[in-house]
Amino acid sequence: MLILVTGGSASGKSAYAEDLAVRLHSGTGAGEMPGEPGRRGSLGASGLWYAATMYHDLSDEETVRRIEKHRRQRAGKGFETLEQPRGIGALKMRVRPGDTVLLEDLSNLLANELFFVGDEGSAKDPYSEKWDNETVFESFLRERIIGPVLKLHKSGVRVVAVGNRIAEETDTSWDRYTAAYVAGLQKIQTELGKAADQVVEVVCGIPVIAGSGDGSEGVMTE
Amino acid sequence: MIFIIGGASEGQAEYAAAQYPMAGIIGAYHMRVREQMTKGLDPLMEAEKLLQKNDVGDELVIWSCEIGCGLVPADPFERAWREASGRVNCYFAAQADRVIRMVCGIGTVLK
Repeated sequence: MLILVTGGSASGKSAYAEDLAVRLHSGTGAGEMPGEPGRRGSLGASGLWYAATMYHDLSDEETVRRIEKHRRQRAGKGFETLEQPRGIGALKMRVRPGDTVLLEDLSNLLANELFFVGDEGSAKDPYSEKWDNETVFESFLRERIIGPVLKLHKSGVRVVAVGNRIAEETDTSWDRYTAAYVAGLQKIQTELGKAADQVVEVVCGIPVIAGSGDGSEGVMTE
Repeated sequence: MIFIIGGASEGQAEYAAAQYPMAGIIGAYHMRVREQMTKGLDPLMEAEKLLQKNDVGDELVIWSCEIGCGLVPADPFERAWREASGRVNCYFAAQADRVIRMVCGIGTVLK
C-alpha cells in the first residue's frame, strides 16, 4: 500500500501522516503476529517505522529545533526511528512485508540526494551527468527515490510518504540546481501519486483526498 | 467563525463579502501575523485572544493566504513567518465552524 500525503509548510501534514500510519498499522494486528520467533522484543518488533530524512546538523539551531519538534510530536505513537537521510533503498533490509513505514519526507530526501557532499566523494558517481542530461537526471530520481519507494510498496509494506508543495512561487528565476530540485520533487510526487492508492493533501490540518473533487474529508481504513 | 483560506488573490475577499455580507470580516490575516512578529508577539496567542474576544455571538469571518507552498525561503524571518502563518491557519481551521478553500475564485467547503 502506498499513500502520498502532501501539503504546504506548517499545514499539519506531518501530524496527519503520523496518525494515518498508526491507524493503518493498528488495524492490522501487525507486531502481534505469532510465528515470528525472535521478532518481538527486538528492534522492529512493532513493525511501525519512522524513516527520518533530516541530517542532524547540530550546528544549526533551526534544524535541531525542527527535529525536536517532530520527535515530540510523534512521541508515544509507537514509532521506531530509522535514520535514512539518503539511500532509502536500504530500508528494505530492515522492513518486512506487513510493516508500516512513514517516510518523512520526500523534499528532504531529494535535497540530501542532490546536494549532500559526503564521505564517498564524487568517485564513480553513475549520475555525474545529471545536471546536464535530463535522461540521466530522471534515472537518478528513479534509482535513488521513486524505485525504492515503489519496491517497498509492491513488497507488501504499507508506505505513507510525506511530500511537500513547493512549486507555487512568486519568483521562479531559479538557478539550474534549484530548478532541477523543484522539477525533480514534482516528478517524484507525480510518479508516486500515480502509483499510490491514495493522495491526500492536508490543508490547514484538514485532509483533502486528491481527485475526489468534493473536498470531502478522507479517512482511509484498511 | 468562518475561515477562508487560499493562495494570494484566489478570491477570498470577494467570497467573504458575497457569502457573508452581515458578518464582521477580518482579511489578509497572514499580514497580521507578520506584523505581530515584527512587534515580538506570539501569533498563536494573538489568534487565541482574537477568538476569545469575539466570542459574543456575532458572526466572524477570517480570511488568510496560504504562503507555505513555495520553496523554503533563505531569510530566517520569512521562514518563521510562513511557519507561524501556517500554524495559525491550522488553529483557525480547527476552531472554525466552517472552513472554505478558494481556488480560482471557487470556494470548496473543507469543513
